[in-house]
Amino acid sequence: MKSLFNDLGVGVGLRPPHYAEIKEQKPKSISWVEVISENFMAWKDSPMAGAQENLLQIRKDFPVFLHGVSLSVGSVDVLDKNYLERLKQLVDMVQPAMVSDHLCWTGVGGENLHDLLPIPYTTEALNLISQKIDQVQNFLGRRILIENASTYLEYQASEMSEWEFLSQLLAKADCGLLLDINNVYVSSVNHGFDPKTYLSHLPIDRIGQIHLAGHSTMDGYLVDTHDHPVCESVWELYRWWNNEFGPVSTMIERDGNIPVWAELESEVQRITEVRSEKKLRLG
Amino acid sequence: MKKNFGLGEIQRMILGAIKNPDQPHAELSSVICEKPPITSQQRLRIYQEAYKNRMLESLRDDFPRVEKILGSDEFDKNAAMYLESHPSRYASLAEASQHFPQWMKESSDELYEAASVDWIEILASHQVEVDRQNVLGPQEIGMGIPFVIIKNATLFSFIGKTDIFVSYRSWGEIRSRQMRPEEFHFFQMISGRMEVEELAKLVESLRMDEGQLQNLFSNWVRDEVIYCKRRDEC
Ligand SMILES: [Fe+2]
Repeated sequence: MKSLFNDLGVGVGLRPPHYAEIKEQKPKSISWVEVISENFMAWKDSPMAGAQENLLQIRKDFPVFLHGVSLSVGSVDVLDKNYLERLKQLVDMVQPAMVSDHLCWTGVGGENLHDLLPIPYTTEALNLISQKIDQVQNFLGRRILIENASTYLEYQASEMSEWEFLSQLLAKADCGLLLDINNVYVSSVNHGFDPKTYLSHLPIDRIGQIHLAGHSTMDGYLVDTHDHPVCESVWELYRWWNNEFGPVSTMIERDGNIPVWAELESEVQRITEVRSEKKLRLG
Repeated sequence: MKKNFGLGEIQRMILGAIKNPDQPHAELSSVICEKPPITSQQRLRIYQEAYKNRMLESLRDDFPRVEKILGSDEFDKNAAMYLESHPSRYASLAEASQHFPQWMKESSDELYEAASVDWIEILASHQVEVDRQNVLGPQEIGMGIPFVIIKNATLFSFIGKTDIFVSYRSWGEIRSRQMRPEEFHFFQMISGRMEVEELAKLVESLRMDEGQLQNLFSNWVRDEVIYCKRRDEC
């Protein structure tokens, strides 16, 4: 089945410690960068012009993916009009290759807890979220990607599995999926399901991007901390995915204990290696 | 017995539990699944801890001067009270910090001042620096090259009880300094971009001492509080 999205190769989550190197060296190891939208969105007392200027400079050399954390499509609150307007300004300015946010809620009653909170997989949530994604896509005038978040709890109210919910949501909202394979792995350990079952039930044509990241191992569960290299089990899942379904734009997310660029770059290069394994076999 | 809560009810209960980790939340026993490898309480605790740590860390990062005065424990206590009275209604964590200086005012002038200086540093860090093409070095000023004066637009100020603080960006770094009231007054009188003749008129009207003015001016140019650019190539 033909995908709704083009494979744009390998990217990286761009963070301030690496701005200078990416700007100056324009590394060949990456074809695009992803940034957190909210870090560049203007707010009342601060137009964020410095950050935006940096981003526009990088945009000259690399396509940019905008990845948000506060859209809160899962909340019963109505969409924040002001947030959407500021996001649209940024989208118009940057002309990103992709725009994404998470399948989660971040707060209710106007409050923001700045966390990606899990939703119950119910028909009520499905209807509400698909409607909200539809509003966002109409407002932005483009299709967005929704990312599966790592979760630490499940609700008794859920009527279906996360992968069933996601599959229905993607079709109903006509949006894409940002598949975070580390998040699938973290949730699979925390809730005791088979990650390959999850991955094989997703609609391949709607997957526009893949995230790989590291997590922390706690006593009996995993936490999605993005402060370690990608673990071998996640690399294994990614390799399996790539062999089964073919290449999708893929990147590394790193937010804590950020290593020097050369170290992160070697992890990014591993994505290219894994992607080329399938090509070699086919060749 | 399984009770079917709606999405809104679930979200309000979870939000309340995350924000109030010290209170019992028995109602959640019919909301969260009880499933190994960890208990539902532990599962909730992950979100409670993450919320607290994330918000406190953000405030600590944004207000290092306040933390230095209060010490870590006292800072955290204050920050927790701030979050209770000013829950974030913003898209970014940076925005959620914005009322902290004003809130600190209730504690003491010293803390208010420290928080305000921390805050103007953050605002300065978000701004764009001047394009440095044709910027004259301090030694080139007064060599007969016609120039215009451009104020450093990244500069934010805070007028404290006795001192005036300014923070601005220079080569990507944040610089903070105190200004004497007359110095600040003069700085404020300079428009964003000023011809040197206009500056001469301003100096005349302010009746400033020429030596003192020259000193001040070259300090500003050196420290990039202002820039002087060649007029013909501007
Ligand atoms: Fe992710």
